[in-house]
Amino acid sequence: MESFQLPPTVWPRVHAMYPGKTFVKFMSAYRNPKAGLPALQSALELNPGFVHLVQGFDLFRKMREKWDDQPTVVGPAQAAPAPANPATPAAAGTSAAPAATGPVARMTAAPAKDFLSSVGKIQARNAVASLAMMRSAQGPLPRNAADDFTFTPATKLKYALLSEDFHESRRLGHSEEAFLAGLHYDWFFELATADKAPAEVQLELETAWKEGFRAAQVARRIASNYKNLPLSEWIFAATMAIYLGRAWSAWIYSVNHPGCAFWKDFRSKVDAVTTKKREAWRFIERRMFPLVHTDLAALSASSFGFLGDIAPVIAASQDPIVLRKVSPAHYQIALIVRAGQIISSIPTDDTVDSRSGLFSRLDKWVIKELKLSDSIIGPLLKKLEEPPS
Amino acid sequence: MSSDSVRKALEAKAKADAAAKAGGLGAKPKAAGLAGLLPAEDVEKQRLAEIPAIRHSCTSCQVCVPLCPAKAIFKGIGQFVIDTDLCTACGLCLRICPEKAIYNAKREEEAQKALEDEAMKKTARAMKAAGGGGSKPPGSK
Repeated sequence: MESFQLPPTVWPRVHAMYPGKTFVKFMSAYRNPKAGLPALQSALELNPGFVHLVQGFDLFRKMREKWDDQPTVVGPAQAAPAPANPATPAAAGTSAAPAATGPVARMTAAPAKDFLSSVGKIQARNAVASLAMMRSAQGPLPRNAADDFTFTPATKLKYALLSEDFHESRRLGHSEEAFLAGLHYDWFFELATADKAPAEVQLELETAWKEGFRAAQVARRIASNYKNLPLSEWIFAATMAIYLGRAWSAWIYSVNHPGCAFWKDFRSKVDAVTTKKREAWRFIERRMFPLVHTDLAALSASSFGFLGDIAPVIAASQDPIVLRKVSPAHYQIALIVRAGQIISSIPTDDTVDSRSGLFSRLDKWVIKELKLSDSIIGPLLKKLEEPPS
Repeated sequence: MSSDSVRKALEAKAKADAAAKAGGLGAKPKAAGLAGLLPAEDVEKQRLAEIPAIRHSCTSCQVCVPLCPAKAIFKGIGQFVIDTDLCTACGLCLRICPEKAIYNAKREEEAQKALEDEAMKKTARAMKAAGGGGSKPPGSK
């Protein structure tokens, strides 16, 4: 048997998915319904770097410029700035107002509070997410005294905002998890762009987004039939993450590694198969690569942190049965995710004949295990919407 | 083994148990970090305390920016700032800053305390010398 060697590029790229302590703390405060702006403020103030960098948010800059056009009124915060607490360096770095002129002249002694109360919770989250992403990808953050830093989260968080809007506009619930699922894609895109990944990676990412969104919709609809399903809020994100694994594979296997094949060669081999494509995919992929797309997706999800709870579902999505005894909660989710993938692959001009040769033995077993009859599958396919773009 | 030593050992054990119940020194930490020695929150607090900060006296000479191995120094609003997520607290920026604008609050506090202690000791010694060696404690020959 051919000896595989893990590509050395895997680990640094997967580690770059880690969002950083500040963003993790900020998001945990954001997702806590009992926590308000003070909790977000304290999470942000732990890192003086972020407190300063968020001031470059284009919306906030415009707001400040408007304030500067108005006549000056010295507020209590400016008249008597809060004393700096030298005990903690984080507080020491943020508590005093930076001495600056121009559009920042009106910054008070608590720039993080000013920022959060001006732009609001959602915009602040977008700004912090964009910054964390740019920093992870070694993006264009200001490092010289002459740099004028500004950024627009709407352009950076394309998939995250599309995914969240889709859920919110249709009142589907779990829109925060949908945001994180989209953010996972944005993060990958940012890293791949910074690393000048080949064009085929972007193509694979777009395909993954479309197919993943379709499968995730089906999985979410199946899950809605079950009551008290643990981790059900993560079903959409888990299915999306599995498809992102394909883009990961396209990126990792776009260059030659000893013992590894190229991703495009694998794709052409799989495309040549006409029946039981999913089974063929699984078999050929295991033979050609040391880490398959679900492995990479699980690594990425666990490094990304927010999707860490469902990393086992992602890793075992091709063989959900391995979770049956080990983790029954994950097993149920893995079955639903797998069913989402199976059903979403059925052509839109669905007839019972068109399904012959489409399902493998495992697929049929998953459908039987979940008791999904034709009367359930048919309506699921009809209601499917195209992914937003 | 004498009865005294047994009694002392039992007393020590009882004290340790009471401390563990009260969540004192002998208590087992709830969330273990740093090889189970300290709770994770304390480890994070210690990590943050080791990270330096930049004073407003920073002249933006940018000597520290290219030298930072973690690339943790950014240009903020009106001054440079250290990103605490990236900083590894290596102390390189602290040593090379020509304006001494980069400082560690914890270290400065400790240094200040040490200076104050030294000054107090000096004063005590001076007072002792002025008083001719001070009075002898009662009962001493």
